[in-house]
Amino acid sequence: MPGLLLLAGCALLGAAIGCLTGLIPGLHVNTMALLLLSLSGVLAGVLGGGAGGLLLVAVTVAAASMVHTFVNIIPATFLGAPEEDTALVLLPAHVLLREGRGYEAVRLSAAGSAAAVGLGFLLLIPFRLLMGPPLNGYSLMIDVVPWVLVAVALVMVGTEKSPRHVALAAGVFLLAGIYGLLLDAVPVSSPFNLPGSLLFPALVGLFGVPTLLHAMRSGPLPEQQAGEVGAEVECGLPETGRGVLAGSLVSVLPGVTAAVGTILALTGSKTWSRERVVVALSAVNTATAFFVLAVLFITGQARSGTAMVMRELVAVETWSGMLPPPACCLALAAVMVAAVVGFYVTLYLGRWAASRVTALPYPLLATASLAFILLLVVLFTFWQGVLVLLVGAVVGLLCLEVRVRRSALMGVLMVPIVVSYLA
Amino acid sequence: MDVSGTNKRYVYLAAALAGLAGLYALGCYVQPPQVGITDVQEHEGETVSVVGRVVDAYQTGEASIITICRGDARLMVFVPGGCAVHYGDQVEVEGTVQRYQGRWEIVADRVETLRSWDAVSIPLWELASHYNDYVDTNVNVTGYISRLYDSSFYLTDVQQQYSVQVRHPRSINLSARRHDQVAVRARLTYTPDTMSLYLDICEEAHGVTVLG
Repeated sequence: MPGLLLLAGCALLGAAIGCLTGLIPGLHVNTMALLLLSLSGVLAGVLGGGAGGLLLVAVTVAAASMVHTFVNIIPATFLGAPEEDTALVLLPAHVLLREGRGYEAVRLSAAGSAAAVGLGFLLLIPFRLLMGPPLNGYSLMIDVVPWVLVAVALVMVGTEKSPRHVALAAGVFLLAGIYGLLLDAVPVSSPFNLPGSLLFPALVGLFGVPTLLHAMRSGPLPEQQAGEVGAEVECGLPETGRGVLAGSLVSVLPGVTAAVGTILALTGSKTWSRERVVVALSAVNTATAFFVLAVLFITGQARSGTAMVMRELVAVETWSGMLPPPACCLALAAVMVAAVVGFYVTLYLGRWAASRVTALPYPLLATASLAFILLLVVLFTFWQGVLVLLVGAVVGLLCLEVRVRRSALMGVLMVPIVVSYLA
Repeated sequence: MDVSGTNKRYVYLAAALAGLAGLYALGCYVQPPQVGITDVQEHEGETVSVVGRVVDAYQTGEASIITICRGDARLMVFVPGGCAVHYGDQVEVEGTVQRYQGRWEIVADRVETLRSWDAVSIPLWELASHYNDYVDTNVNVTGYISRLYDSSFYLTDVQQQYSVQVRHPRSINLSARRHDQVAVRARLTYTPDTMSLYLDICEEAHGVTVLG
């Protein structure tokens, strides 16, 4: 069993990797996890060799995936560049930025993520009892996935402000759904052999581009209020709890990501303030990463790219008793360290970004963000990605124009999932 | 020109529909290059299409790992969401080439069965001439029963130029008789001890159908 110092060192290394992937839109933490897997032989040798060394590499991967969920709020808030998991948080975070409260959006997100980790630890044993033997709730949940998603979509669309908007939202949802289905058929290639997914330009097009285009026509950003890093942050139990519940649910379901969890968390939350929405959505993302780790040991199933990599690195001992197996304990310990690091790093970087974001006129910053995003799209997905981004942008602009909730655009993820389950 | 709100919606809708049609056309007509199994290493990180016959397949969690072959060349394919293929199926794999633990593999976006192993029966001479392509795969072979035993029989072609032993469990009640023309669905296996090829009926999908 590796020593505590090595464990802490690997958790910090993972945290650094997670920071990098969280700050660069389009660079998914799964990509770095696969890179670590391909280097695992060398890394394990450096870390002591044998099973212990591989376990430490797995711990690094777990820490990276955790910190990623903290830090990715920063490009979403200040650059308008969302990932799959931050697509829905983009709008409320951007609104807060326009009010001079960009740093507060980051603080709320960090608080939601940190609270999700804390709540996750408290709910870990009940989660294990529910999903594993003797209740085996996992098997039951698999059967109802498509119907849950259909129900969520119906609620999402059906709770628009008028029948006319319901019809418009349904149209936007289906349009986005067809868009999502077509993405699978488009071949992707990178001019520099970088691993890319068309989901990145799709989500940037749907959520990021309309926001940035609007920002390019807007006035300057107000002075951002940047508080002390150590100041208290508050987040309520309802929004955190809902986020953790949604995150734990999607961590179990194959093919369902944290992005769908964000939709679940917001269902029926029409009256929530932007602040509560930011907290809930950040809690979903972090809770998903947390519970995916637990699911790996409870059911042996890998529900994310990082979990798949971890399963390749360590012998996953099934968690059938009350206490987690040793490898799971080590991974959870690393996650705890990573969460603390992620929290403070997010606050620090958020404060730095808030103090710098007004250095340039915001329309110019939005233009630069858009150019930067376009560059990333070309690097990762070439001209196919640019085309996908343009189509997504038009669909996103249509959604804004007909004044329905942006969550209708999540049809891009939900429709392909439902179709794949039912097909 | 000042476009009213209603006109803007129609413009965006028309553009969105046109864009979706464009993506559909892109998906139909712009296909990743098809490469041979031996050429995949020249396309690291790229999306390619490879055709081959399934010679091994197993599940690992939600994913499937299949091995395809063409001639002597073999390639591993990792299918994240799993796929339902059978030994001997002719498949087209589309995905990204990567190197994993020192060997080349494809992480598949799509696996399409071009021809199921039992869809077309092959003559015995084809099996004999290209047995390398079929070893460890399921095959569907037609021929005539020349000799019949409790747990095996010999399958020959009409000129009796080629012959292969077909082994089956005793529990299978063969309704076929000597000289019957049959279609045999079985796995072609090579036994190193006797340096011989056999057709083994060992799966539920295997069997013998009397043709005439």
